[in-house]
Amino acid sequence: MGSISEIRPLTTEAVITEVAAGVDDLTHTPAKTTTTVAMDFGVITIDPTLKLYLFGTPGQERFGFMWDDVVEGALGGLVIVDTRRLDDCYAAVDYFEHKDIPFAVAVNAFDGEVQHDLDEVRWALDISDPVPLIVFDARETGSVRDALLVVLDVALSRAESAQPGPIAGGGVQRP
Amino acid sequence: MVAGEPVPRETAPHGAGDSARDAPGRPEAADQSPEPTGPAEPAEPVEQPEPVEQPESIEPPEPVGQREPVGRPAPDKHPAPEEHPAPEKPSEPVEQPPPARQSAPPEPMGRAPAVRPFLLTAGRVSGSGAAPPLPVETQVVATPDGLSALRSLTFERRDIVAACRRPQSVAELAARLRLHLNVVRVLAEDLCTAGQLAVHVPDTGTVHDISVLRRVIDGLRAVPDSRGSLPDSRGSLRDSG
Repeated sequence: MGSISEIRPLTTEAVITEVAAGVDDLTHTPAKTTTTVAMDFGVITIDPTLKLYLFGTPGQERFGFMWDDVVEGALGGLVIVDTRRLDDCYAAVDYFEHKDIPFAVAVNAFDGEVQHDLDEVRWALDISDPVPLIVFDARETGSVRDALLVVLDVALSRAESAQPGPIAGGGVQRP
Repeated sequence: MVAGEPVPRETAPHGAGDSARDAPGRPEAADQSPEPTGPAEPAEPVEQPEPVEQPESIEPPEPVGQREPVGRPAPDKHPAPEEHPAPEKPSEPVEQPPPARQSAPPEPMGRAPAVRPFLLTAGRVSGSGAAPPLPVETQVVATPDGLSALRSLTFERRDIVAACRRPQSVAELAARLRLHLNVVRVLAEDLCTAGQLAVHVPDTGTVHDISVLRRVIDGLRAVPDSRGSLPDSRGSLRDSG
C-alpha cells in the first residue's frame, strides 16, 4: 500500500465492539475489554471527483470482524499471500468466495522469490478457477498497480455480465 | 418524560465518581464537571488544518505526561498493566517495505492514549443505535456552521471539524487525528446531528456502475511504476525481477 498510495500510508485502529466481542478470545485475559487492531489505508486520486481508497487489514481469521467493515461497498478485494504462512490465508480466500465479492489472490514475492508453484498455492488454498492468482511484489508501485488492475478487471467483467439492473444487490450469481 | 433540558450526554463524565473517590483531597475534580475527555490542551494553534501531519519528533511536549497527574487514569475497571505499552501491530500482510526506505518510518501508534477511547464517546459505540455504523469510506466535510462554531468546540470535536475543511473519509480522519476509527464514527455522527459536519454516506450502487469502474481502471493505468513506465499489457504480471 505504501508503494502506491499518494499519502503516507496511514494507520488507524479499530476498537473492538460488542459485535466483535465474541470473536476475540477473551478467556485468557479476563481483564481485557478492548482490543485494538491496526488498519492501513491509502488513497489514489483518479480524477478530481473520484478517489480510490485502499484499505488493508490483517488476514488472519481472528481479525475477520474487520473485514465486513472494509468490504462493504468495496469494488473488490486482493488477498495477499505469504507462502510461508499459507494457512493464514485460507480464511480470507474463503471469506471472499462466500461474500461473492470480486477478488484476486496475489502471492507476494519476497525478495523476488516465490517459494511455491502457483498451482500448488491454488490447490492448497482451494481457489476456484475463475479467480485470478498472480505473483506480485508489494514494494513495486507498478506491480501493485497491476495487481489492483486484475481485481478491477474481475469487477468490471462481473458488472458487465450483470448488465441489466445496475443495482444487483447482494444476490448470489455464481457461474 | 417531561420536557426539560435535554441531558447533555456528552458531558456526563464517565467514571467521574471513581476519580473523585480516588482523590478525595481534590473535590473540585467532581464539582466542575469537566469534559470527560479533558486532556490538557496541547499548545497548538486552533486554526491548524491538519493537526497531526507532523512526524512524531516535533510533537507537542508530552500531552500524556500532563494528563496523568490530574488523577484521571483509566477507570478502576481497567487496572490492566497491559494498557500502557503501545498496542503491538498485528503481523500484517507484507506491505511494509523493509529496509530500503529512508530511516524508520514514524510509528503511527507509538503513543498510548492516556484517555481510553470509549471515554471520548461517553461509552457509546458506533452502530449500537438503529443505524448501522458509518462505512469507513464515508466522506465527511465541515459545514459553515461547524467552522464558525470551531472556537466553541473542544478537543477531538474541534480537531475533527477543523480537519474536515477538506472533505475526507472517516478512515482518513481517524488516521490523521490518531483517533480510533469507531470513536471518529460516533463523534462524526454527533457533529452531523449538531449540523456542524455534513456526512455523505457512499452510494453502494457505484460498485456495480460500469462507468465508474472504467474510470478507476483508466486512472490506475495512468499511475507510473517506480521506473516511470506505464503498464504495457496484461502479460507483464509475472514478477519482472
